Amino acid sequence: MATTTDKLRNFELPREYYHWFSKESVWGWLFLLPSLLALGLVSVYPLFRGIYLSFFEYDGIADPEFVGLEHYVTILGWTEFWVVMRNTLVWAFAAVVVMALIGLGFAVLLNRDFRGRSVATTLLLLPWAVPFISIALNWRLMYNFELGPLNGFLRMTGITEGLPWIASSRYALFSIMLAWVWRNFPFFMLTFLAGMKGIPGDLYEAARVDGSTKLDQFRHITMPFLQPIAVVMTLLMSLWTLNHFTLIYVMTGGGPGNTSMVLPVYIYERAFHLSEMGLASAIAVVMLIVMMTYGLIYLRLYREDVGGK
Amino acid sequence: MATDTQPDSIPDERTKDGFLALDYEQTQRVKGIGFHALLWSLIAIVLFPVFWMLVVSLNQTGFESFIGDPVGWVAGVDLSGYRQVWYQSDFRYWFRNSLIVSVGATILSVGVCTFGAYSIGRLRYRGRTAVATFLLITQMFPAILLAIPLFLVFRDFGLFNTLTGLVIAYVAFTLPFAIWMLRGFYENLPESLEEAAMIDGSTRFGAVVRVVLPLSAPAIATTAIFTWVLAWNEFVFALVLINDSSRKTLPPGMAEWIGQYALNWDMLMAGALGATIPMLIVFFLLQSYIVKGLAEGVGKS
Repeated sequence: MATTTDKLRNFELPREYYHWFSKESVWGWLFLLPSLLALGLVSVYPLFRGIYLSFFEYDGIADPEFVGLEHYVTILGWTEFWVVMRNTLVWAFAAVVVMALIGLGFAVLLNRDFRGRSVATTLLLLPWAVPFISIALNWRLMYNFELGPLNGFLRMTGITEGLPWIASSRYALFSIMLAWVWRNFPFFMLTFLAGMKGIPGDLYEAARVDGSTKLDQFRHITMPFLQPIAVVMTLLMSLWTLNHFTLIYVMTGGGPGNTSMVLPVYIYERAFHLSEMGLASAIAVVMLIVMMTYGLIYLRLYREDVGGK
Repeated sequence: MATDTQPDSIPDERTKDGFLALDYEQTQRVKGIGFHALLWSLIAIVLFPVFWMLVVSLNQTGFESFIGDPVGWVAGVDLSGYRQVWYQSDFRYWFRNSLIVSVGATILSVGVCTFGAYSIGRLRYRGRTAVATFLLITQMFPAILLAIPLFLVFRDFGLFNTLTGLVIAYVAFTLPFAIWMLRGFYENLPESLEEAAMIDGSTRFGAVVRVVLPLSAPAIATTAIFTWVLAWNEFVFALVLINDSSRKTLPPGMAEWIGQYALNWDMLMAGALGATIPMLIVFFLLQSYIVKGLAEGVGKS
């Protein structure tokens, strides 16, 4: 809808509308001023100061000492850094794929008429209403070896004596991922559901007359319609996941032995526990490059879906 | 979907002579029951962690003992976890601080973003697409990269360890998302509205305040909810920019319990529920806005 109106506007307007000092332009920038000011002070300025800082040795107290690219050379030759980087990418990629699939499954279930539908939707949305810190504590208990329900259930069925979950190097990252998926699949569920409601019913009608199966209908009608929504949601969710801090910091702190360590937590530890602010900034700049590259490639590939012009 | 493996909804010979000899209506009923059983058991699994949070907050127990002796659990219920949260920790200060910071940031952010979103969504001028793209790009800045310099700046300007500083940080942190959400709404609002007001002699600003703002109240409310949730959940800035325990907000404050009260699960879960209550109130009062906002604002961008 928005894109058609935009196209009309762009074609029918006289040139003077786009003049820098037209009335509309002046109001436009005036209305934007407070937002840009706030973002400039708390987002853009710190960004550049952070990049600047990455070329210095700085403990937060003594005078910063210029070291050039030394930090970057150090990081890139560091096995630990690459382990953390790999964890971060694995965690973001796997989490988003799993939550998109679960969200899609629930959207399919909810996309029909039945009694109690709105109650079901509300209840499934509930994880979203639990703050991260509560989720982190709650799932620490879920995974607790003795008191935790997961191991309790496993022991009752007699499968094992219980798994170490977040305490083991093997399952830690996976366990945190499960909690993160639990919190975020409703996002996908709701947006997919809204998308499915927008699909004209006669398309399915026609497909049924042609004798195609439900799976075919899903693949050739539902999926293409949902693609634009999926694109926007995956982009946002991947960026949020890459940036996420609370669950990992509180559930494992990155352990055991860095097996669940991701970049945000790692950078925090370096900067504020080890007082290596310059080095930490350099790692953060590498993280920035990764996120920007990912984000911009994504935007370029799917420019139309994201609504750019 | 397990129910779909059964023959499709056309009544034919197969279903009648099939293994259970069900007619069309019976097949439909079985399918319906199967569907509801599947859906509601999945919902029960999804909600279980929250249920378990409540159970343990009232009487610390393991899963097997709870199943084995629910009566014993009920008999042992008390509020000692909640009492401990309230009297033996700084929870009450954190809670108050979280409320101050989230509400303050939400009001400021929504005030600022309304005009920004209107500008990008509605007005036509050179550079607005660039600004919209810039907003999306700010979402790609790692929060922790901004937190380090912000800590240094705040320390130099006396904003470190103050709630004011945290509010300022949160306004900027929530702005791009808030503008992005509201923008779509203004794109679809009929243009004749402010034009009529402007023909009557008001300025653009007057038209926006008197005509556009009242009309967009529901959209603004939705944006406010999401901003509030972002602020209530925020961890990195709160951790880096506040030092004193009495000035902390809930997330970094409660994170310290892990080391101190590792075995007091009743207390930990009581606190976890306490931090959830404001979100639950918002959630149940305004759920129709939330569902709409999530479906339209976020999804369609």
